[in-house]
Amino acid sequence: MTASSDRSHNPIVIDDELCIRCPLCDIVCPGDIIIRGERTKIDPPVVAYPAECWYCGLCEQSCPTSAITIVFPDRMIDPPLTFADLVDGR
Amino acid sequence: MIGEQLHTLETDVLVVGGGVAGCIAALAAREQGASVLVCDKGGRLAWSGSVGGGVDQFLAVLETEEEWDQPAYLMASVSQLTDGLVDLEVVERMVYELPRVFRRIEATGVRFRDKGADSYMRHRAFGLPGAYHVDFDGKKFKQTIARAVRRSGADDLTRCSVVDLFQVDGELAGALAMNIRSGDLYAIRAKACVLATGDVNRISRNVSDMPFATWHCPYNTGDAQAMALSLGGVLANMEFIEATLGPTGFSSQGTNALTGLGAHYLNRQGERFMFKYDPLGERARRSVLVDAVISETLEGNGPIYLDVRHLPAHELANIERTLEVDRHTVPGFLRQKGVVLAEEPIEISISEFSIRRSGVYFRGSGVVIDASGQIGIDGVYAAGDCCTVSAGIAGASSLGWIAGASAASYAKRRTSGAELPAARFASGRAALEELFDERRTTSYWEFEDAIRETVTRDVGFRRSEEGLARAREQIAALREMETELRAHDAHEASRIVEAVNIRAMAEAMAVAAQTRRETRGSSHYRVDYPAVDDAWNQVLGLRRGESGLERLVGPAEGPWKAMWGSSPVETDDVAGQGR
Repeated sequence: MTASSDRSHNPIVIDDELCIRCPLCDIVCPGDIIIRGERTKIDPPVVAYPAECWYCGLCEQSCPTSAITIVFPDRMIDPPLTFADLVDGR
Repeated sequence: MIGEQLHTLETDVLVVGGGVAGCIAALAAREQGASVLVCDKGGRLAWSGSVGGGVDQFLAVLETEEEWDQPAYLMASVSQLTDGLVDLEVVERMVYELPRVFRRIEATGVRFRDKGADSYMRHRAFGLPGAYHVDFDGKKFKQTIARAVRRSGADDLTRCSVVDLFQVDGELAGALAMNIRSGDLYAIRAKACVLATGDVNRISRNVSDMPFATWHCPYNTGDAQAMALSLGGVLANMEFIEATLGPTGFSSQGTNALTGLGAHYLNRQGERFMFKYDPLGERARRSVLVDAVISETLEGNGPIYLDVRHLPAHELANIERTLEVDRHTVPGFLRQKGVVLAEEPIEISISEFSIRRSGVYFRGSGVVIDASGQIGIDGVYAAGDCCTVSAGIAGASSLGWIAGASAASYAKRRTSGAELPAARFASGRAALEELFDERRTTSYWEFEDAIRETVTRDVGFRRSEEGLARAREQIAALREMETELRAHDAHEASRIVEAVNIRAMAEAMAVAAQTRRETRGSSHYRVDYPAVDDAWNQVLGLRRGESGLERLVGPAEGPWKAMWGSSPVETDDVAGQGR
């Protein structure tokens, strides 16, 4: 089994102060990644499956108070592999 | 966790997948008076599917006075555009339906023209013989058609994965579906069904090793293709891969827009190399650009850069906005990376690959359909990127309309639907419940990583007999691992369903790639058979047999439905058998 991706990076950073607990991010997320707080009006949403994010940015785009920022992991900014690695199967 | 609630539903037409194809199919079926239920894994139809976040062009034939703007004129080029490997009968139906479907979509409220403008902004792209693409601000395209679906009286079931389809005595009976968050189960009786779950992703690795950070929607995992195989349908063109070019590290849209503006491709030496590959340079067909970047990289001339610094100031000023329409997060990625496009060339790379349409308009990979959208199984239809004719949202819309209307009229002809087969429904349900057995120890992502590692190495950009044989063995061995897959909640259970479908698609791809002993551009490159072989001017189909996948062949330009009842090819020497 390969030790593929680090699954811990959280791509969806929610500013607790700005968030108005409106569940829109939960509703628009195409991957069921963001789950509204248990008490929707009080608890902030939870990024439940961060490793499954598409980086589509629908949540960031839809947030009525701009409380969401998409943050890319180091491995996307500075990739660990090259295309040649993938073709050679290293 | 699973099935604490069991809901029973009944509909004339069940639509599996609520992207563009599924939504337009729903509208067509409603217009025929059929009751419709749309199932989608996303949270709301308004934002679900491949273009839930927006889209910026629509391939349209509008029958204006322009000579090229007629269906027949476009059809005359399809054979050349697809290297003669496409079901012309189905493409023809799709193209001839386009003008009407375009107006129908416009009537839902989609604004294809800027406010106050009396004509469409159209441009020529992707090697097509006319300016067919309508440029428009499609940020709300999906929201608008989803609203029309709701207004039409169709029902929808979102966050729902259709896990199984059931037939009784050769007739469709219905489906088992699961809410991917609550685990509630649905027993859905249906007289007809439209499959529209899109392409196959998460099947290969990218340079960031981020399996979900993909170019196409990572939640499209070949669900329809796998169900079609189970029902006895035929898949075709499964050997071909599709990849794109994006900023290194982020498999995304955007380079098309930059190329369209006139960006230059540079190699490590700073050479504008595209003219080595095509006299049109950067204006060559898209698949030529991708092929050239692959060759240049493998020859050691990478990294490759896109340079826009020579563009006029007003275009540079808007360049972020241009990129943002197709993929909202690209400007943020460049900011975090510290790249300013107006000041420096940006490094680009080849993305992971998916199974969709081998980078070629109309040449889809997936479920074989006929000109009515039917898949060779009574009452079952398919449309969009999961079927063998694929042309972006235009193809999805036109075929969606055709499939939805056909499904509705089939449902109308059936006096009553069949009861769901109780025993098979129960075993489908039990299979989901077993995923929670604590003796199971393998996570879906370990399983998927193993698929991706094998497929990327041996079924990818460069293929050989040795590698493909090894891949087939490993992919077959992974099937044994499926009984070890463990879910802790309904969400994970739905990912396991997807992972199992991805493995089935990997198997189909490996079998097809091993069988086609020739090379067809970079979408199927055999290092041991590096040339095009004319004897291979034929389509390769796959059907589930008693001992694995059966291989079928048919005429390159169709009709591919000829493969539905045909006998499997027993020999490994398949070239020339389909003509």
